[in-house]
Amino acid sequence: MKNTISRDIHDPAFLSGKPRPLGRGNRAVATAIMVALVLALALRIVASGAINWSITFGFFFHPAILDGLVMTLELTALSMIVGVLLGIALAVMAISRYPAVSAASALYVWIFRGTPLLVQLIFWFNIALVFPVVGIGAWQVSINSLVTPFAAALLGLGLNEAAYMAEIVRAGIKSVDSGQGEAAVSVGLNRRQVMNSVILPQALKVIIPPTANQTIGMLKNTSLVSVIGAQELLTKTEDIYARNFQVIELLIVASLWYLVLTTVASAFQFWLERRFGDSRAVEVIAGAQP
Amino acid sequence: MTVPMPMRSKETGVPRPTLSARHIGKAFGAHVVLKDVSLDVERGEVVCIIGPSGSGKSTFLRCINFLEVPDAGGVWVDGERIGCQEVDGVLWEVPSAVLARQRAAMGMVFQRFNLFGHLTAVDNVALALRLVKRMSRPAARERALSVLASVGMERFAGHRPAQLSGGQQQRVAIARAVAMEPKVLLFDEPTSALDPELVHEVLSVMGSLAGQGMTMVVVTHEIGFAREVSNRTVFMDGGAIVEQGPSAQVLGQPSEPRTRAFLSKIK
Repeated sequence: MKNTISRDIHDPAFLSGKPRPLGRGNRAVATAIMVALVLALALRIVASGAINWSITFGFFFHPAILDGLVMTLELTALSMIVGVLLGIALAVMAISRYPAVSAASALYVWIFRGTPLLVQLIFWFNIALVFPVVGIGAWQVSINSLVTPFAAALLGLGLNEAAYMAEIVRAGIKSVDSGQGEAAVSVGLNRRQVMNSVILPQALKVIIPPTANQTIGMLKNTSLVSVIGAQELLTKTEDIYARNFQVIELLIVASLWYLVLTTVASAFQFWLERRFGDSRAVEVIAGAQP
Repeated sequence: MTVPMPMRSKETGVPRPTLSARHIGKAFGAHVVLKDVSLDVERGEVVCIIGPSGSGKSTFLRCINFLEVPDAGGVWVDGERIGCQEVDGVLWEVPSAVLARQRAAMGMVFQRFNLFGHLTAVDNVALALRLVKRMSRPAARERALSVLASVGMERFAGHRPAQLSGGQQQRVAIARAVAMEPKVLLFDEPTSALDPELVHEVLSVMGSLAGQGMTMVVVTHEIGFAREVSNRTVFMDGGAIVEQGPSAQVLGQPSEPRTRAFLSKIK
């Protein structure tokens, strides 16, 4: 800083205006290092010749891969539906006046959030070892025929998701000002009406963004069900590379599809958060101030 | 199910009060908030409750409609005991559906308005008409609009609470309570959260309600309103009623030193 000139406020020749930010030079250096690292890694992978890219692109729209993709989407959607509905029920149970009911909810969350999802999936797949049949008398059904890999996957993913959704919904309910419930009971609404017509609609603003986050997580978590052979994207991918031994090429196919799904879901989440994230602020701006 | 109030109507033939709170006691843990507070309010009467903060006046109001459950005493509206029933000499809660019906007959206006944030002004008023009074959607809307008009808010029927000023929100909140045709309206410091220039519009709506014969209990710091609109003023301090009487007397020539001290501080 040898050229720094010191002037006081009485000097008429002071420089006026917005100062230039420091650190422009550092930024260029950082950019150069990052570009060089990424290029070096990309060149290394391509130059090695170990990856046969034509196989990757050849299998990208393979019917089996697309079937697996559809199954992944189905599992994600159905598991989230199970998770959200059961999660709301668990959250309402958690704030029950009856200690046994809230304890049951806490026990559920403790077990399903406290054990690995992978373990839960294998557990549901093998549930017939504990309960071979359900039903009474003439209406007995073998659990083995009931719990297909798809059903076990749905049970495992949905019941696990419910534990996380319960916490999200509970936080949403708690975020609503207690005055809302008081106003609602003061005009004669019963408990169910207060929850359904006043509390939950206002809790949505807090519930929706993390739920979108959970959905993105679920898209990837469905890959875990490959261990029980539910025919989703990763299982289909594994089936193919078990026959042609092009392991990395096919894992890249699966990874690219997961990236496509999560990118689309993230864009949807961005839209959702703008729509619901801070609706009050949006309304104040949009509404004519009287 | 409900026990008739042990009332002077039987003894003297005087018409029984619309609202009767007897010997209300309430403590939060070791902190005693109300000590044996009793208040009778006749039909069409407007009673203002004044007093320093922490005197228990808001808690007393909340005990009346069981937002707080009193530890002692009882509340009757038109002779029906609120929130409790005696069965074989034991006092039980009433079923929640009964309490909901009883609360629908008592309007409550809150300091912080507590309008339903996700609903427009007209839907705020119409919600309980639909869910509690079982009115059809169009009928509830029509009634809600006419009540909004009575508080001068019909132009803002489609506005969300966040788009309204505090005074406008409070007028919608009053309309929400009035629409249920309550036997008594409870106001919990209805103007305390308002900017000074917005107080008047809310007080004038309350004044016109009083003029129409609405039975009202108003916890307030607005001495002018108490003097001009209310029939009776109650001064509370330390969880008990210190003095009560005709508003002109209590506010003009208070007989208790504590009342005088309080009034001299807020004037």
